[in-house]
Amino acid sequence: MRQVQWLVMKPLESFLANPLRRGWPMLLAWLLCCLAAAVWLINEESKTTREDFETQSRILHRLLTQRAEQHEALFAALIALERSLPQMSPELSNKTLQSFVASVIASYPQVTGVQHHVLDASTQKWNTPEAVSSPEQFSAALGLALRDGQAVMPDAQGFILLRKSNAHSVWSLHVRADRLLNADEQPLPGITLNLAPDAGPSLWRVAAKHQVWPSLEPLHFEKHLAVRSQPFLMTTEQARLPEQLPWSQFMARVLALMGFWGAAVFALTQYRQRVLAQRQLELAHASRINSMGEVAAGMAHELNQPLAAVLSNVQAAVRWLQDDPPEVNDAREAATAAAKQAKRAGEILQRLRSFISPQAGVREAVDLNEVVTSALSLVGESLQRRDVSISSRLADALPAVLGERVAFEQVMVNLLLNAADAMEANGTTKRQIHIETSCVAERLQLTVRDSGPGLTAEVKTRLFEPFFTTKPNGMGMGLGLSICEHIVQQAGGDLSADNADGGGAIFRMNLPVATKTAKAKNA
Amino acid sequence: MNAQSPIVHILDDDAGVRDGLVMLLRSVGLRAEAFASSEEFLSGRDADAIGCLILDIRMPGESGLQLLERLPEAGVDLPVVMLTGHGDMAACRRAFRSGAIEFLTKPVDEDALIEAVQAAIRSHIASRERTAVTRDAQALLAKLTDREREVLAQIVDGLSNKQIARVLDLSPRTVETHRANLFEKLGVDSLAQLVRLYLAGISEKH
Repeated sequence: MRQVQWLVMKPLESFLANPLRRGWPMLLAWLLCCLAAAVWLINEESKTTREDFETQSRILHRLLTQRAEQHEALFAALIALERSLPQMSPELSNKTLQSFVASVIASYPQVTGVQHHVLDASTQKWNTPEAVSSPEQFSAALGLALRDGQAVMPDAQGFILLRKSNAHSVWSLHVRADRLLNADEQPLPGITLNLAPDAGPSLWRVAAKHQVWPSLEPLHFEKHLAVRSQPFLMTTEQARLPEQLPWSQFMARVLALMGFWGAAVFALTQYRQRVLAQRQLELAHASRINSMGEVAAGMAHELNQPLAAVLSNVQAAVRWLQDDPPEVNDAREAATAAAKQAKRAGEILQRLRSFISPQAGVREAVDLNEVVTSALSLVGESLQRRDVSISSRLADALPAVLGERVAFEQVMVNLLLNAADAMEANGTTKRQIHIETSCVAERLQLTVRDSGPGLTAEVKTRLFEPFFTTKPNGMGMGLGLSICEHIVQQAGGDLSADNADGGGAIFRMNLPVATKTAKAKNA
Repeated sequence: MNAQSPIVHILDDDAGVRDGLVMLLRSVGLRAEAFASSEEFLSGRDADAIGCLILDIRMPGESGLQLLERLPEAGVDLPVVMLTGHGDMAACRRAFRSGAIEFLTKPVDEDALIEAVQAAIRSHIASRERTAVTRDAQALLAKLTDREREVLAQIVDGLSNKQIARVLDLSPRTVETHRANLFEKLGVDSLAQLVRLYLAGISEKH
């Protein structure tokens, strides 16, 4: 049983003794939690960003494809118109063309101009090469269009699409790039958009308005416009920026974790304290039970005295009543004495019961002299049997101390039995214990001095440690004095040990005098 | 009750037990006197009184057993009834070896106590009487001359006058004279009386 208790108690005690050192795994766990939350958040956030970005890009792609289809439709209409023109008069054909172009420009904001280029069969010259800023480039583009059926070239405000109608006729469409998309269709500020043919310079570029964070690879999207004659590659990019990360969410989560951690630590501390308090209570009880053997021997004798007196008195009373005439007065006297002794027996039992039962911690004004007397009645018999003589000098009219009466008795019993054990183990022949109580300057002092071997330096420093004992294996748990110290400290006092002048050990219990208000409250 | 009636001395440190025993003994018509410590008893008792001592084994200061062993040298001839809270064999043996006549455990039953007390008082009376006889005999024997005492010792040993004369190197006639003086001085009429008186006189010496 003791072994089991030791196994359970030892780690628990050390754990409770060093709560700080045991705290670092908690801190580490907390940091890991924060880190995991951050990684998860960043991951989630970049996934969302990527999805948003790709959606945006697909929308842009669809819109640009739509515009390209418009250009396609426009070319088809122009070429159809051109085939019907020879049947018209030149004025009418010119007028028809002009009104058509005007209507086209009105309904397609990106189209700023439509031109018809005719190659003079004899001079091999185009009729309207001056319509653009760079005529040579335009002529080259016209040649390309005649050869391939179509061509494209960048322009100051956008680009020019060219389409061959027949061997000497080419139509050109001037597209203003910034009008390709409506105001509400423009790419978001963070997105860089580029539109370019597979070979050749960019036709249109919209740069992101954000500063780029170079260490992160930007999000990227590219797709050809889904129009066979204008298979331009649309490229979008979006930089990943630190300020786009969900810092506020992250902070909220860190704070929540911090709060949770704090609450957990608080709850654990509370729990520890409750366990510690409970354990102390149980230890105090266990230690009392431990000394019960000694106490019981003393109690048996204590109880025997009033019982003997009761029996004698009752038997005397019966005899007097049997006299003829009955001696009523003597019988009454004997019966009264018997009743008084029976009460005394009851009080002794009450004291024994309160000593062994676990205490609920009732604090009251306690007279130290009564504590000494009571403790001596508990173990006086066993001390006498062990040839220990006891002397005492108890101060008159000692002020009270506030605390648990039984707990103080336990301390006293412990000190007395410890002194007897020490003297017995040492083989001291003249075994004496001297008890003194005194009160100096609002401090109560109780000393217990023995005539044993005294304390070595090592014992003196470790005396009040839990599980430290000088008794042989199995004789003591080494808890007595640590519990005594705890009890005395609970009452606001301290317990110390020293070597007495003239040999032996002396234990001093120092306690504060109960104040009047405290006494009144507990009265 | 007159001054000659026996006194039961009770020595116990517990007032309740003491008073209870006094009550019980008084209820059977015995005089009882209580003492709280051995000092009180040794200084306060009536040394001439007939009676007995009820002694508690466990007492602070000098224990009951220690006092019991010290009683003869303190001149106390009261028979002792020991009382104890627990039947301890070692203490019991030690008590009987030291001359206790009874050993009772508390709480003690009235019949056992009264019987023990009465036996103790009877024994005290007998011993006091024996002591008185011895004292008388010794007083008579003290009157004899040395030669007469020598002759007396031979007579008690069963020797005849002639044999005594030979042993002591005296004439038979002288021995006869001593013998007549002996009978005269000791006030006895027969040889049997002479032997009984002689034995009573020497018993005290052992």
